[in-house]
Amino acid sequence: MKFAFWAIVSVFIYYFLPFRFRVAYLVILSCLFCATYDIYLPVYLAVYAALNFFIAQKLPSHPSKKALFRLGIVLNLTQLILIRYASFAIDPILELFGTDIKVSVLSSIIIPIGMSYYTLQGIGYLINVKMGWEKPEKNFLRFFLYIIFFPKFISGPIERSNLFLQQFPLKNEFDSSNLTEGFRLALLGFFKKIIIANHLGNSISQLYSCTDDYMGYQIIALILLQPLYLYFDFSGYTDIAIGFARAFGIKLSPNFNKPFLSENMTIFWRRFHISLSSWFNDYVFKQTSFRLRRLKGKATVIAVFLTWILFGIWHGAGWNFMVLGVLQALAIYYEFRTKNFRVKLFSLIPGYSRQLAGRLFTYCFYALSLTFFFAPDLPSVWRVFSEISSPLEIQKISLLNKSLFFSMVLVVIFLLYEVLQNDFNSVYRKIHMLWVNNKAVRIIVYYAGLFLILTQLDGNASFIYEMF
Amino acid sequence: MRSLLGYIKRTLVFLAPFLVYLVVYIAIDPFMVIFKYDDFNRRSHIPKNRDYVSSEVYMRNREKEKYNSFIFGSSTALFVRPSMWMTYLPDAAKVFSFDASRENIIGIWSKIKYIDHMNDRIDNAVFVIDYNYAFDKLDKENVLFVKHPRIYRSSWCNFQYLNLLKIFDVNLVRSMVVYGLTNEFKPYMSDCLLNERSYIDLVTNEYVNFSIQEELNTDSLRYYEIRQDRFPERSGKECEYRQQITNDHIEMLKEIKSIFVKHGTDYKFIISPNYQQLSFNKDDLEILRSILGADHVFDFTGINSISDEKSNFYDALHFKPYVGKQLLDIAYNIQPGLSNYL
Repeated sequence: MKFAFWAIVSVFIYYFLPFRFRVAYLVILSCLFCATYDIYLPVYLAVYAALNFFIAQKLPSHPSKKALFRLGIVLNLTQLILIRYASFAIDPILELFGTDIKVSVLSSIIIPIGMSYYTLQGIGYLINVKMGWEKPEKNFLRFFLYIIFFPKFISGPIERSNLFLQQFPLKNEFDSSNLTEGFRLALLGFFKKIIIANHLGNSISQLYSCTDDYMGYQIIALILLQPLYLYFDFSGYTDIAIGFARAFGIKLSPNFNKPFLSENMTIFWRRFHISLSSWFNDYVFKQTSFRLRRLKGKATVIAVFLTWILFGIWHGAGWNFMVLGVLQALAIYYEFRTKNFRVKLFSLIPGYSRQLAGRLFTYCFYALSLTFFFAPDLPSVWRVFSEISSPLEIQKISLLNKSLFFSMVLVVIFLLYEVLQNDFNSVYRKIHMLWVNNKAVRIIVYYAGLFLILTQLDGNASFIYEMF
Repeated sequence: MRSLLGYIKRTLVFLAPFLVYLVVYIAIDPFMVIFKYDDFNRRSHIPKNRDYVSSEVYMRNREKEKYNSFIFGSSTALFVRPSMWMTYLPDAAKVFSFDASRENIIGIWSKIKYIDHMNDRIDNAVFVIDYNYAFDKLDKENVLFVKHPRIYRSSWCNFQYLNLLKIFDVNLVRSMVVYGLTNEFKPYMSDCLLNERSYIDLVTNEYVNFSIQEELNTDSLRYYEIRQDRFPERSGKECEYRQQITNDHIEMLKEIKSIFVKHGTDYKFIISPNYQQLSFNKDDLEILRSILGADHVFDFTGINSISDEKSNFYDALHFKPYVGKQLLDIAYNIQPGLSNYL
């Protein structure tokens, strides 16, 4: 809420400022935002951005282009591994050699907030410049803004430099539709997060802290709720980020596109956390399969598993995240290998039933795999799975409470809206026209949304993807 | 520019109901945190942040009253009353109860530092702490427990923001409005309003709850009957609470000790008894004794003659004032220690 208040005030100040100061203003705002986490973080980010900026500047004309490019990638990855993955990847190795040195101490000096996101942006930018897909940015402030822009800093979307930087110079004239659309989207994001995700989250976080208190069917129900929690939390954040960016006149990439209407995992990952999955697809999968092309069929297999294992590890330093990645790889590999067979088999099932079955199966697979995402470690995952089959005991925790029921009703409304938009377009258009043509309905919905958000604020809400 | 101003105007019109609500909140100031008050006894049905009230009363009176003796601690400290403690102190003692709900060592440390910073004397001090909250994490979210921003040196905006959020609690607002109009306490109000007669002394900050005493005097059996859930089952065996004191706490305790040495303070550190008979962690107790001195630390937790008796308590944590007197008697060597409390 404090964020929303300051963001709205900042937006209005932004439009009062002379045009030439606006980028600098956004950079200052973003630095202040980062400084609320750690006063030295903006300094670190400035150094990080400067390194990438200057390497990219030199890249096109440098005699040892490859070496300079590799240096840039190594620098990016080194800072990520040292600060974010030391406890997982370095400290245990040092311990094997009998040393007391803990590299993970670095993360208490430089807070790794947003690091997984801006590192991918930095690497993506260097690859783009090296491959000649993009010219190096000449204005450091613009590039620094690309790294640090506050609405997307903590949890993305992971912006592509060629899409973000090409929006500059921004338009001078004031466009009220940017503000209206931006604020509307941000309001929707707050609603998803505060009214839906927070209530779902309360129940799900309890599953991992008091697993023994749940009965088998309750655990299954909570596992099935996991994707909804993640979706409403993360898409809520993304809507807020895209909304506020839009209010400043900057367009960010969408991160979600009705993911639960995907009929298989391959499509699902084109619709869920799009900015991350497309980054891995473009910069890891495609690059790896191209480089290993002489291995023919094996190249794809290696590329799929490498991409998804890295994708899993990106989420955090833990074996559970690696398993999460491997599971996605297995699913996608299975879908790739059995495509023809499945097409033949499922053609026997009539149209919409086939779609529904595919969606349901995809959802259930993702829900199960998310246990590796939410559980703090692998033993916790096994505990949750083993408790499913535990004998029926007296119920210790009641799952269905008023707030969970209320948020589930809203979830159904949201998902129905997506189904209408996707599958029943004529009905959707009628509803949409009702919305567009009826100002009174819009105002009532906005007030109701705002009111609900204000009544449910508790001051300590955090987003799931903040920790990455 | 004209279109921007027009847009701002339209936004303000849209937000007008919320802005009006905000203005009404500021004007009424239901939690008494926006304006300065001489008397916090107004609107006693609305729960207030006790840390804020204590701090405000202290800041308002300190120059005039020249306090030099302080009671620090959580809500259990309310039952070691200034009027009671005065009798153990020299005549020149000017007592102030600097208690706070769920007070912990961070809150006490910040208060002692503030008093010292203001160059006020600390001749006498008594700490009355809970075995579980004293070294717990600082609550920065709950509006009833968050610290006074000036004493704890935290954000004033954040403090006001947390209070502001409360006015969007539909049940609270409904209860406040209905109670304000009818002056009648209805069952649904019990979640958010207080149905009690209490008084905060304008000088010593002594808090007295008359309603509880009246209820006990009228029918003490019924009092305990309807509050059965506030008295958790106890095993009858020695059970120790987890270790809580961290290095940061140790540094704070050392700083408190050095301020006391500077002021020549006579201090008593009382760990209050609890009905559940859980013992304060022995390692933590050792740390306290080594820093503050074994003669100054009095542990009344665990199984003993005070905690044995249910009628000594209002609930699992809060003992009655006569128990408070008994604790002071032991701390000031007027009565020998409990037979089995050491």
